[in-house]
Amino acid sequence: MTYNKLHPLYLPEILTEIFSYLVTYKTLYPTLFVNRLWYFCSAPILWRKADFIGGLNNVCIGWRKFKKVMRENRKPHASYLLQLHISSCKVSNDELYGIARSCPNLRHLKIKWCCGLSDRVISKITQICLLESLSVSCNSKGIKRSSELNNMKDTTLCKIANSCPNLQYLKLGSSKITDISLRTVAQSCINLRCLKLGYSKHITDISIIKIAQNCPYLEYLGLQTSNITDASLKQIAESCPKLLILSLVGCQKITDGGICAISSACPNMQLYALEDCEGITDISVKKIAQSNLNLKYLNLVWCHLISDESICEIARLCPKLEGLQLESCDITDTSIYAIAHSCHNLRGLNIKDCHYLSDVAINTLISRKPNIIIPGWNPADMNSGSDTDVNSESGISL
Amino acid sequence: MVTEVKRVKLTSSEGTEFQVDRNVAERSVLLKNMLDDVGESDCAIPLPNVTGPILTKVIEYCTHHKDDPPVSHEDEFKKGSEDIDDWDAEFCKVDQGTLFELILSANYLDIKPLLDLTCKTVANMIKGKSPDEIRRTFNIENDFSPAEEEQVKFENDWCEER
Repeated sequence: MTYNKLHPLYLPEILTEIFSYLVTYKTLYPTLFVNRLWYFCSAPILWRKADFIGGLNNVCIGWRKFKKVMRENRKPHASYLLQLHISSCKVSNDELYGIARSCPNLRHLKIKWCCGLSDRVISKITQICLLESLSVSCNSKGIKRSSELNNMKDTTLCKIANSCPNLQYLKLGSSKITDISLRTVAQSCINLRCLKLGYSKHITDISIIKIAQNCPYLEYLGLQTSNITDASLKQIAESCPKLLILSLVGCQKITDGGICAISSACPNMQLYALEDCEGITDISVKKIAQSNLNLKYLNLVWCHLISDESICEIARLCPKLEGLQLESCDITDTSIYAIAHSCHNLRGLNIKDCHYLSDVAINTLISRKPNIIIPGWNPADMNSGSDTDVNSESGISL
Repeated sequence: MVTEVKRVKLTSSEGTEFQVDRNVAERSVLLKNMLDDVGESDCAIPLPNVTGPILTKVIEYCTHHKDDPPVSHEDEFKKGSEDIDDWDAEFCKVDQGTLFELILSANYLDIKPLLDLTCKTVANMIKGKSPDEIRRTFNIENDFSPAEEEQVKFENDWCEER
């Protein structure tokens, strides 16, 4: 049976529309072989994203095949590649650079746990590819040779920032980044929406204030053990109203002043991670409860000054809350009952080392929210078996 | 003061006249633009590319969805073929010929939600099938030579593992 040329399955724009609903590889891949027209329409879509996840015991076969194709002269769809994620795969500097050269339209690059790569190759890549997101996190756990990428230097980050003015997403695991290169990022990457840095002890107000001033679209800021003070937070409050996520684990110079400023000025806040920010008290958390009704996750691990006074407000005023971490907080059963009776979307609760809690209260909570995950909680006192895996970590992650 | 709902006349390819409320007709961007240009007029709008039965279906869709809010551009990027509601799913339980005519009409009349729905439906018919099964479902001829097929496989099978 022949179809006239107007049949939708012979019209490229309709085919492309249909294929856009088949974006996972498993469903789009077979369309490549149906006929030539289908191949011409689906290959460009298929080539947009390339994700390769290997592992210690698990070699990524797809990655090997991809490298082989990249070595050929004929790679008709390489220019469609927009996103490349490589996790725990074997890759050399030359291989990575070769891929970038063949795929000049690459915009999103993520490299995780790939040892042997150098700083230089990343900055060379940014000379060819106008990156919009860059994520480089190489955790040396379990890997014999510590990757140089784990310790990206200021000079490299400066080069990257200057080559990628469209950068919107930057995640770096390096612990050697200082204010120097972050200031360059602030000057060059004014469209920055997400900045996530690892152990940031060399980062101070000097650069974060500049970031806040120059990047009004900032939605996500993550710093760990940095030396910033409330001054940075007040600048963010003033300049970045779109902020949604703030993670300041171990930033011990932060006090209520800074958090209250942010919570008032950034009404759409969804996540605060203030683990080990010892200066935070009920004042901050009450302000968050009152101002950030869209709150989904709150991490107050080791914030010893947090008590029932503010947690009950959170329970009362934040209906969208999904994750709450109160490890070592100064809470009693009052908070547990408050949570049990509200927080209808709560999926995970961390109450380790909260020594004043009774089994009765927690059982009440579990009976009202049977699917909740409470790490470390022993269900021995419960009558019926629970579906929850109590040894698993709650679903809260950054 | 009662506002009269305006009626609009449409003529299918066979010449059959259909009367619909103006707000129903305006679900089609093509018709909306035409009506805006023409203003107050009693003339019927001819649709030579759309047969009577298909126009009936299109009108049925637009009538059911006449109060839907406009689709925002952000939704464009969140494509998934799972979320078809019951009424829409029933609406699409038609033979292939009708389904494809609906796609063409939605495209011609510029009714994006109907185009999305019908394309999603076809996508669901493709999902999970091998190339051979796809060809048989839609009666498509394989115009690859064996050498070409090999080349396609070599260039693209890095993604097959997922």
